Amino acid sequence: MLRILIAEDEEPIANLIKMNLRRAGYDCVWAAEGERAADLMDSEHFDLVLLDIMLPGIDGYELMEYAGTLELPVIFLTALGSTENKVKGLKMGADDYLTKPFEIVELLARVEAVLRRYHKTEATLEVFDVIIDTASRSVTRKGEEIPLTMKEFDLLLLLARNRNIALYRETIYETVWGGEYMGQSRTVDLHIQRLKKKLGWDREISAVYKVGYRLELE
Amino acid sequence: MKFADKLFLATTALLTVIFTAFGMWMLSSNFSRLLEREVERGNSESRMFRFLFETGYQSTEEFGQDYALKRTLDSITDSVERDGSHCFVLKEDGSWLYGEGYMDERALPEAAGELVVAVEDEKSCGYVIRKTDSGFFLLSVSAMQADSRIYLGICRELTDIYEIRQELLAQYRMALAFLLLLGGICIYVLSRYITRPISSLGKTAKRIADGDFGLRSGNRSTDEIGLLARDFDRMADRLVEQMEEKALEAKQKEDFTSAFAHELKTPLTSIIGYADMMNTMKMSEEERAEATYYIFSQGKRLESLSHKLMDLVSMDKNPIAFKPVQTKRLEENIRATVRPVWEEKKIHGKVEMDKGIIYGDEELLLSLFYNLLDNARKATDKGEKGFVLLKGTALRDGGYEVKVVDNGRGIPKEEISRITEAFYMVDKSRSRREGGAGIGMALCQKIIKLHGGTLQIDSRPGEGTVMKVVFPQKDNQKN
Repeated sequence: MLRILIAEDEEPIANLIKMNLRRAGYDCVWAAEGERAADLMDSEHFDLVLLDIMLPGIDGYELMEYAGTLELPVIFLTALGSTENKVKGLKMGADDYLTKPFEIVELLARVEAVLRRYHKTEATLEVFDVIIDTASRSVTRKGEEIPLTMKEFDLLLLLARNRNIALYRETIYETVWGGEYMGQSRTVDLHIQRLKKKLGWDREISAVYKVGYRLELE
Repeated sequence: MKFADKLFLATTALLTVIFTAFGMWMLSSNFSRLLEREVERGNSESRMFRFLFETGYQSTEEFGQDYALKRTLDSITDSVERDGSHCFVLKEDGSWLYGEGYMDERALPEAAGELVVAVEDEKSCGYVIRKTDSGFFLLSVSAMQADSRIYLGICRELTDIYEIRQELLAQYRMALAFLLLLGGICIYVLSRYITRPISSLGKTAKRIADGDFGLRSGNRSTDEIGLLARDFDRMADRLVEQMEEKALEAKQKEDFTSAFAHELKTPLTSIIGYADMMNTMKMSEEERAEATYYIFSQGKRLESLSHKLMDLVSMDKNPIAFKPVQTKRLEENIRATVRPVWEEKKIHGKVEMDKGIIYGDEELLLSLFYNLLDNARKATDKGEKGFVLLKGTALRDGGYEVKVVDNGRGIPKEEISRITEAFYMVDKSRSRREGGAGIGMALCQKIIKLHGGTLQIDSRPGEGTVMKVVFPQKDNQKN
């Protein structure tokens, strides 16, 4: 299991991140102060650090330098949203920069993107009896390949990576097709229908009222 | 061109003109006196010659004119031709009776002829100064009284005095050149010396303009340049002060903006995040309860922030009504409000105010003292040994002083000047835990300012803090 260190002094926010990362299958450790975060980085193994900049004690920039020497991937997570701050953070070697307030889907996507860059994500995902191989972009059930188009595969991957999270149609469209979503709901709905049929997941992919779709894993 | 060079050139030119004019005047007056004397001498010799001649001539008339002339001349020329004077005698038709040889040698006959023509009409005598190849000569002629067809003349060589003049001129030129060289060097050095403070001031100004703001001229002299330099230094001081003020202002503004954004975005992140979760995820009952709790508490936090900000802003807009406020009333009010908190936190507290009057708004004053006491209470870190004290003293000059004392953790020296900035927190995580947003002291400062009072903070880390507020008596207040 991948371990993520959350350096954040606000308990409600730390808790929010923790809850969601745990659901997505990560192991999380929370540090409310700079010193504690530095100690943890030193003594334990982590795959990623989520770093707030305005931390009591040692601030986020100093922790960034420390994480840099340990070659830990870092995502800044902060209310300081000016371009200046972003550039400073990224120049210091942060892998990404997320400003508060953020959406959970975005947080998960960025965490995953950074982990993927470091080849830390698993190459295969298993959902029910279906195995998704992200490297060869193939989907198999009991050794038998299920033929999917490119968009259908991306759609399945998005749903599988955000299990139990309802995805807005906007998010789905923007992630899979790219570009601005301007009510092309038919495109998303159509592909969802085809995917349901090909996988036989009539119940598993459910429509969520006023939101979009969710892959339910009980 | 440099000012020093201008000064140097102008002074040197003036000096040259004055020396030259003065030298010329001296030389020429000296020369003309010499010349005058020579002319005088020539004339008198010529007169004497005529007198001798006339006397001699009359007595030898019987031997024919030419013979008589010759004889007369022979007898007198020796006595006349002394001291470099030479005689000559001319007839009206231009034929020479005497001295032709001498005159010819010096190419003077023509001049003598002209002089004779000029003297012809007048009975008196005349003279002329002539320059020929052999030098300068003075010719002085007078007509014989008895027979005006004969002219008697004296010729004196003046080459000497002209030579002396030339010599003096050359010497004077040398002296002038030497004088000007010496004077020029002195003036050059002097002009540099005098203008040095100006050029050094100029260099200083240039370096300041280039960004070396700490630089000053340091000129301490009492002349005009010194005064200018001092005024210049003062100007630079003021400018630097202003610049630093502006920079500090900008930094405080920036700090305020980023702190405000942080204070706003932090609760918003939780609210949006948890609401998002509830909206999009299947959650257990427990998780749902947690999420709603966070949404509520963070919403409350936003509310309190907005209230405090409103207070801060509205105080600027609404002028407060000044009324005499009895301190005994304040004392009772404060006691009633803070007692329960102190009892709950188990710390010792005391509120004591002398009888007196503060002019101001009762609500605001209460809010001020309550805030100060609340800060003091939050600063205590010694458990049961913690104490908080509010002491009011009526001052002799009619003002009123309130001291709020605690034995808490204190404020680091370098932070004292900043704690009245909005959103500034000495210990962020502790302040947060106790529900602070860093606005309390900014609010206090504003209330004190509105009442025309002053705030003085005295603190030792680990030992405690004394906050002293002094309210002036009524007359001294602004409103």
